[in-house]
Amino acid sequence: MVGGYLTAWLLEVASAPSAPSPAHAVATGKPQQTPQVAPDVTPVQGVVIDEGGGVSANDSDMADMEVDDEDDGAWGEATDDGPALVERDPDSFMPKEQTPAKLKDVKEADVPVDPAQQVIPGVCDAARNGSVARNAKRIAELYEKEETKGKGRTNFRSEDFTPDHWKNPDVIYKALLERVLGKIGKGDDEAIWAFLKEPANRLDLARISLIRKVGYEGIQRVVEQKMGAALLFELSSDLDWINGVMFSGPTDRLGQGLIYMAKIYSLYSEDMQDPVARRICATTATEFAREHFSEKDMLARFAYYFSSYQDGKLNVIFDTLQYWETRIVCGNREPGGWGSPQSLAWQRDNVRLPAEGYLGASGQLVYRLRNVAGDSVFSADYLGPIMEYTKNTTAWAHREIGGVCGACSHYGAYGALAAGIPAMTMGEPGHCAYTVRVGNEWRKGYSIYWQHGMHKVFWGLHDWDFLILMQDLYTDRHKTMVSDQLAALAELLASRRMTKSAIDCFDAAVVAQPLNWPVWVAYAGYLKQKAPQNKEKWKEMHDRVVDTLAVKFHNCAATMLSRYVYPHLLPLVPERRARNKMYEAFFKKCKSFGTNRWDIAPLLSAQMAGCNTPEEQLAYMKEALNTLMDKPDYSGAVLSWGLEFIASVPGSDAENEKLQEEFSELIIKTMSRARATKKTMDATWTALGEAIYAAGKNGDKRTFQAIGKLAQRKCKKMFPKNKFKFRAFPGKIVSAKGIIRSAATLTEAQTAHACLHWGVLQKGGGNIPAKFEGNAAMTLELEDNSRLSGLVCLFAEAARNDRDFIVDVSDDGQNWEPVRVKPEVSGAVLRADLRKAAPCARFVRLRRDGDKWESTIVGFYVYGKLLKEKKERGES
Amino acid sequence: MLKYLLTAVMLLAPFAITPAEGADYQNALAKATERKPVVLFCYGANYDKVSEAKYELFVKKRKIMKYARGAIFLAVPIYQLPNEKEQREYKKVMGDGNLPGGIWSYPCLAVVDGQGNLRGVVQSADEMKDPETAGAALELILDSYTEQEKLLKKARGANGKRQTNALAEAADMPGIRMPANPLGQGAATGLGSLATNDTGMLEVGQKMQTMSLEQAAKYMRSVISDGYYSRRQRQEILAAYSGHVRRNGGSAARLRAIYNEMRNIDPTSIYAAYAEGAIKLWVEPREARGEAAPASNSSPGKTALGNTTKE
Repeated sequence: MVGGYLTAWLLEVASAPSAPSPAHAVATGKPQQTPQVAPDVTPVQGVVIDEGGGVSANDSDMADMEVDDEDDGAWGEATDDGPALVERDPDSFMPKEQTPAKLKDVKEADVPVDPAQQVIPGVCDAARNGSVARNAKRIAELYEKEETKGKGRTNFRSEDFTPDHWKNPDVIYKALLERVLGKIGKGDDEAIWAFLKEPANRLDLARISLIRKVGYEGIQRVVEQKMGAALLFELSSDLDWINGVMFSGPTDRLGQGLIYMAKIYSLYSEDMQDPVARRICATTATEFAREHFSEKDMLARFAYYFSSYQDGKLNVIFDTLQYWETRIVCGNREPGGWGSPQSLAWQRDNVRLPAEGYLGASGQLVYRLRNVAGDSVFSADYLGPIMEYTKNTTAWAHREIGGVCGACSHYGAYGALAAGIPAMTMGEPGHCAYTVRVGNEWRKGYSIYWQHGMHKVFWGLHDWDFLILMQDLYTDRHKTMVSDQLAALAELLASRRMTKSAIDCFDAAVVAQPLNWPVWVAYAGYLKQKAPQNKEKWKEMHDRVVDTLAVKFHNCAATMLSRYVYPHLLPLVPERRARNKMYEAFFKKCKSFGTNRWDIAPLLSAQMAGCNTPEEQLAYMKEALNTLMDKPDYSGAVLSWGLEFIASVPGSDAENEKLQEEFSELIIKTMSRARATKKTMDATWTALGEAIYAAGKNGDKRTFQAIGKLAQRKCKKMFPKNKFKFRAFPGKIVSAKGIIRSAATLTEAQTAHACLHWGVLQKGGGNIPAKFEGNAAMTLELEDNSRLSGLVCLFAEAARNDRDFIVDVSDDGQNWEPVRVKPEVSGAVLRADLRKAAPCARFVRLRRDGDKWESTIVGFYVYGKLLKEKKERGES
Repeated sequence: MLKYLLTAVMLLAPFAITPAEGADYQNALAKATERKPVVLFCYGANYDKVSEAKYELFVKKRKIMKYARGAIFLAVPIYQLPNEKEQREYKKVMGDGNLPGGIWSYPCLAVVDGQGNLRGVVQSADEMKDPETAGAALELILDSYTEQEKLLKKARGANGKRQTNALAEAADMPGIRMPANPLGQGAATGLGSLATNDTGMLEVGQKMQTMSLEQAAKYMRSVISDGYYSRRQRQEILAAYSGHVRRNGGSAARLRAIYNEMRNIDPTSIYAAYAEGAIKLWVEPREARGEAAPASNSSPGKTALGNTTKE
């Protein structure tokens, strides 16, 4: 078999148009014709493919391409999340059969096939897994030793490709291909480990990966830049530098990144002997290219960090950052404004703090939605008059005038970034917070919600879990390097149609470093292409994710499973019991939320998608509830998911109506079983709170009421026993069996007490945060259509009465009519006498004119008479 | 001779209390008086080359001492992720005390009174660039501190309008802040309050929003003329009024008058800079066009005060 492959490969090499060696090219000085022999040099960087489409784009196409960014998990202030933030589809890692014609490369199909390689290897046994893990560890230790010896650097250089050689990347590529394939042979484990031991081989691998990512045309564009060839020569001669570029994060739009690097190199060539200058150059250029930022901004950013470093003005942390961390610092996401050189320099000089100090730096700004002249923070007038005085320095201007959460968080994060400390802002629902890395720990600043959408990400995924995964991945950087190199070899082998060896290499890469997210995704992409129906391999991937990634990173593992594994694996596992066993294995790892609370709903929905009938769905729901209700962290979330699911089932047809009823009963039954002993009271209260909040959001009155009553039964002590004194209105309280919804965004702690929302409608009272601003209001759906006589709203404190409150009514909760009545406010009591107007309605809304006002409501009562009869409702 | 000797003792006095001699922040606070506050030189001790250079120059080479005017001087090392030894070093200086709030950058020179209130701080890069510049800023604070303490003493011994005037005068001392409780724990200051609402907006501005420009002008004058407000507060009242006028069609001439008044109250203040910027942004273009009154609101989108009566 091996012989067959080698013969085929040798034949391929022999039959290729003869290309002079690089040395020959240099000696003759003649331009070399690009030969048609690099089947695998499709630039794979910058290829973004949406989940369903399979659209590919090269560098030039990228600029015009629209990307689907809807699932970015980011909240808060709007930021322009460009293509760099889009998660890559696994397909995009693999060379396509259809190579764009404008690249003078031939198709993968032209590579000779070795039949021995056209098989999918079986599941790895324990022996191989153990051997791979041991060898990977050994190689990682070797890297560490080399680094220790070189004081943080490998210091390996090889200058076998001169600047002139880079004018013919195809020739270099062929020479490298010959060398690398010659050494790894058929790609067996022994050959791979032996290959990785030698720095010269690793340098070749990085060079070959670079050409594969950029493509011949891309390399030629770099060569055309001033000092472009010199840059490629230096970069490709220095193992530390090229590894820093190739294996420290995403390489999307690397061609543009190299052009940016060449620009810096041409301006600072004398400084580029300094490894820190190389690091700043590589990370600024690659990140600015990836983020589609301009060359001018890129140069300004480089100049800022390089001069600050030279002048000793940065925090000492910066001196020892790795490449990936430097990408976060130098590649911070605002080329203007907060990230402009003048604003960074101002913060660097005027907000000099130890790393942990930046977590409180947001407090240096006065929180002001409107400035002293009453101008909104959302208008240019807010800072306008002060911009000249502050020399257009965003941070300085905000410190003088104030800001809201966005400015406060940017001030804290960019203060740290200006000093060279990794930090970033993050979106939360209706809020902006930030995080600063202190030591190796990411700490949160100004955060009030559990949902964090990180604003600087490598893999297009914004959840907190992915930030910590990235930290752990690169903290263990030597193993990660081994894994990255194995993945690079896998991709090379894949391009040579050596399927078996490629899969073996991918296997080794995820065993060597199970935290290597992009390698998991690439591997899944390759399996999808080559073995979509191979149940054993998909099951193996599933089990590996559960056994390794899921141990600490529940959210990441759930994302991996639900997006990349289940869609292929579940159709191959029709037996419900077998599927449930898989689910259970994952849930067993989730004793708590892990690194941060996360949204379990997408995983549950992906599992639910494996069900074929409503009966199966019901059975699945039952099992999920049974499993997760015992886990305090997840019980509320799973209930909310169940309720959301019910709400999403169309209710028009009788079967679905029945299904909804069954689901609802099941949920209530499961919750009823939950014990609320002294010990578990808090957990039960929180779970019920999240569930009732979800019911409120979905307008599910039946469940809202059921959970409210259940909470009162199980957690009686949690409800207040107020004895309110106010003048009531005639008639029955028609709101007690209704459902109430506030426009306020709730924090996690407030959601935990959401059963008190139900209490607000009851005699003893409750507690619900209220927000009044424009149409943001308190909305109530009554028990049924009613003729109203009055409304009483009890606030926790004296109501602000400088503006009028307005009562609206509606039959459908969509179209509202104001009632012509002016509510009276006396202290904390608001009364609206509706007797004269006597409106008939099912929905009632209380809103307030003027500026935003946030308060708390402890009682809300609508009086009237239920209109049971159609006649009474005025219906025919 | 005796005079020189005393001066020398005073100049060396800062070194009577240094971390090296085992004295700490609490001792320094205990020794602080109305004439001699505590001056802290806070610097990044294990993460910041700029701080280290300033420490060398300002403290080790004693270049800042001559500006300290005999105040009690203490060098406070600030550590990043301190190890045990560094924690001990810090504790040796600060004991169980905390640095007062309001220090935003290191290195800095902080002036603290005996109650631990931060009364002034030299912390901007421009001010801390060399001992001479930092020293001049420190001297201003120390001068103001002495004067402010005198005024506060006067206020404590007075009542009614005299007390309020003394407080307002104390609040206007340049480069210095008022202590948290200038009249002692629990006592009302008598100084007019310019409370802000939950959006950070001044309540006087909020009240103006339903008024006509003339009513607002009258209201603004009545608030300012009661004499209960410091210079900064008077500028804020004018700023609130200027916003109301600008958004509701006030003339360029009226705006210029407001901004001029705002600037002239304290030409070195931030609100003077705001007023200058506002004139360039909103008044001069209209004057250049010869507009008697603005055609429309200059702020797109939301406005704070809404549209009320036009002028």
